[in-house]
Amino acid sequence: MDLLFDPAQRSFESEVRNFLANEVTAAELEDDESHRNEHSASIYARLAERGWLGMHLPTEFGGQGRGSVDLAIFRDWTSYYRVPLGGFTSASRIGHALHLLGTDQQRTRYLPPLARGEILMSIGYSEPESGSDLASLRTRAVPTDAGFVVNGQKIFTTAGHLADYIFLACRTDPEAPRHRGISVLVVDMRSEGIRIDPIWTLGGWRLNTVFFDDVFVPGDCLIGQLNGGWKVVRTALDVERTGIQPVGLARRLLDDLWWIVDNDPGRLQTDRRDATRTLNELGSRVAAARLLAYRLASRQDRGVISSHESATSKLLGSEGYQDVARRYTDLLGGEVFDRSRPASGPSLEREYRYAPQATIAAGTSEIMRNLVARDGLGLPAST
Amino acid sequence: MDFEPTEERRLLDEVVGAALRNCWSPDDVRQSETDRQLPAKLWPVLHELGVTTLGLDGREEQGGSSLLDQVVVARALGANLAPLTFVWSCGLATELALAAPPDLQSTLEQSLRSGKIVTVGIERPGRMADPMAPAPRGPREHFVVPCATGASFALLLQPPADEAADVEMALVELGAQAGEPLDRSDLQDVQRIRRDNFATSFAVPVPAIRAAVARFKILMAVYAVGAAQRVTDLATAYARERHQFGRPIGSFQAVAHRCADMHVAVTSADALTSLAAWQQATHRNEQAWRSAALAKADATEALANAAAAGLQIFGGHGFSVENDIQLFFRLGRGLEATWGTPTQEREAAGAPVATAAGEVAV
Repeated sequence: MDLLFDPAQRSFESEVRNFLANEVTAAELEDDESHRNEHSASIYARLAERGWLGMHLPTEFGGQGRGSVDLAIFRDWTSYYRVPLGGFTSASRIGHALHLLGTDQQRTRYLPPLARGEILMSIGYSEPESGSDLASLRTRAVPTDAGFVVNGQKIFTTAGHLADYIFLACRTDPEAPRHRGISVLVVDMRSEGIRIDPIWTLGGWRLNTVFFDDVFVPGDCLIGQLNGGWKVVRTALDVERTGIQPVGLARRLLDDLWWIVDNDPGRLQTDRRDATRTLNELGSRVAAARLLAYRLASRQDRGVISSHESATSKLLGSEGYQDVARRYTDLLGGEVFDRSRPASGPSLEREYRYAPQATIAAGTSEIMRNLVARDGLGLPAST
Repeated sequence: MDFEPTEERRLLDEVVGAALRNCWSPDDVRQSETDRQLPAKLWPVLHELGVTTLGLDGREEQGGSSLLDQVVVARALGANLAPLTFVWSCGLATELALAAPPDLQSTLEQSLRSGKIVTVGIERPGRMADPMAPAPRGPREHFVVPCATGASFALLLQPPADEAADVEMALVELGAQAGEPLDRSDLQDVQRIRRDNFATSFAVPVPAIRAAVARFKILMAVYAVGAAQRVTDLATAYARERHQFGRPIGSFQAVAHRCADMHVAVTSADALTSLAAWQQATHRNEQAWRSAALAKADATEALANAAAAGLQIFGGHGFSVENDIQLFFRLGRGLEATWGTPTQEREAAGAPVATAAGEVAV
């Protein structure tokens, strides 16, 4: 057993930390508009310069060929610094699927500009009536001689209002069994017939509803097989299933709380002993979740893909983060809810509003528990 | 034992509920985040119904039963996300006003009877679970005044400097420009006013402040129970309507159990709150002081937890600012930390006190 990163991983970690601590400014990290958009154009451009946007793509397509542990290191620390990176999540997932399932022409067309940060792509999966049950999606793409005509509606599209393309899951054969009638298209967001409306959220960031009204999509924008889209959809979700992102957010929140304990205990509503006990209890869970996320990433690098291990790690990370965000208001009291920054030290107003999404986005805790029970413990499926 | 409300209180509940449905909606709540004057539009309606002076009327002859009427009103307000003005003004300020020196008392009583709002300012928000506990740090520059917009007066409370000292109170008239509004995300309208407004002060006797604070915590708890019940109703209704995998999501145990847990927590907090209200109304003061703190902790926690569970049940839809669940979520997290945090309230509750045979207590 060796719980240390290997030398290359260690050097990558210090490179990432150094970049975030010294090359990204506090103003960029706190910029309201970036947080509203879940995307910071200036930080994104510099991630591209470093080659990190395509870190897990092969070098021939402008990537760095890095593994899951490196990707986890990157997400651990960008989350810790609360970098708004909605665009990156989509790029890494879509890039992964395009690399494995796209044609050579599609790889050449999309991957290098994706890695260079020249294009942004959004994921178009969720619909008003299709969330956890994604296979029930209804957005319709009717095949024509030259391509497809798309009608329907997607919701909760991250960075959809900034994206150049949407990675769209749609129904191409309504007669087939539900998983077998789905195809994935890469749709140009400037196409005629697309309308984008904002959805403002509890956390303060913008998601989008994207409407498709007789949108024409050329035939060469089909990814994978016609009616073989379920595989494409799932492949894109195979990336970054380590639960590390909420762990980074939780670590930061804990460190901010420790800062207050050490430097400004007057802000505490409990005595220091109680605060210490609480933070250590929460911190142990977060540390365990972090370790498991890295264990999972290193197993993924050795080719082991396990849905229930991913689900276990996601549950621990997201629920651990939510616990910290649940209990810190008991430590700090009503001052938390004041949006203005305190004279010194961290402002933690946003955290309690941000955390609830962690157990919903990218697979709800309910679905994760089903995976643990069914695939991990061999219990009968509930559906 | 009789757990049922009287016919009069059932009627009061109906009347207040109907009035609220007519003139206050979740959209008003959204709008009040930018329009601070808006909540004041509700006050004349409540005043017209006679519920704002419940704390002044019939105190002696009815054996404190006015509290049980106030409980009915606060619960309806919570269920409708109405402003907290009633809880602060009728629950706390009215009680403190009655403990003021005679001339101030009559000024305040007249103001309340003519439909004006009197609120309370606190020096140490969050450390108020036991206001008699000496405040170890030096005085602060500001008092924090909830529900100040539209209020005519605030009674400023200052904790005692040491064990031997009293809680001090001063009256300040609130003008249009009196305070500096805080930008909060928990739907509470709070202003800061400068400490130099704390002029002529007078001591509040300990029994009076304990009675006032216990009543206030009980009404806050009831308000939270009303809100938590509404959250449970909304989430349960959605679990029945929303279909995934070809069935209502409420037919999945994971979702059904969440709904059941919300219901159990709300029912429990409701019972504890009723106990506290009954003890206070029947002058079991020591027990009520304790139960009120525990009920406030339990009820606000139940609301915050129910709203978090509600967000999970609504999934992505709950995060939209268009969805009411997120309003209850923000409110609930804020209420938990208003006055004392749950931890502070449970500390302030102290140890069990002796109870007569045949009585339930906590």
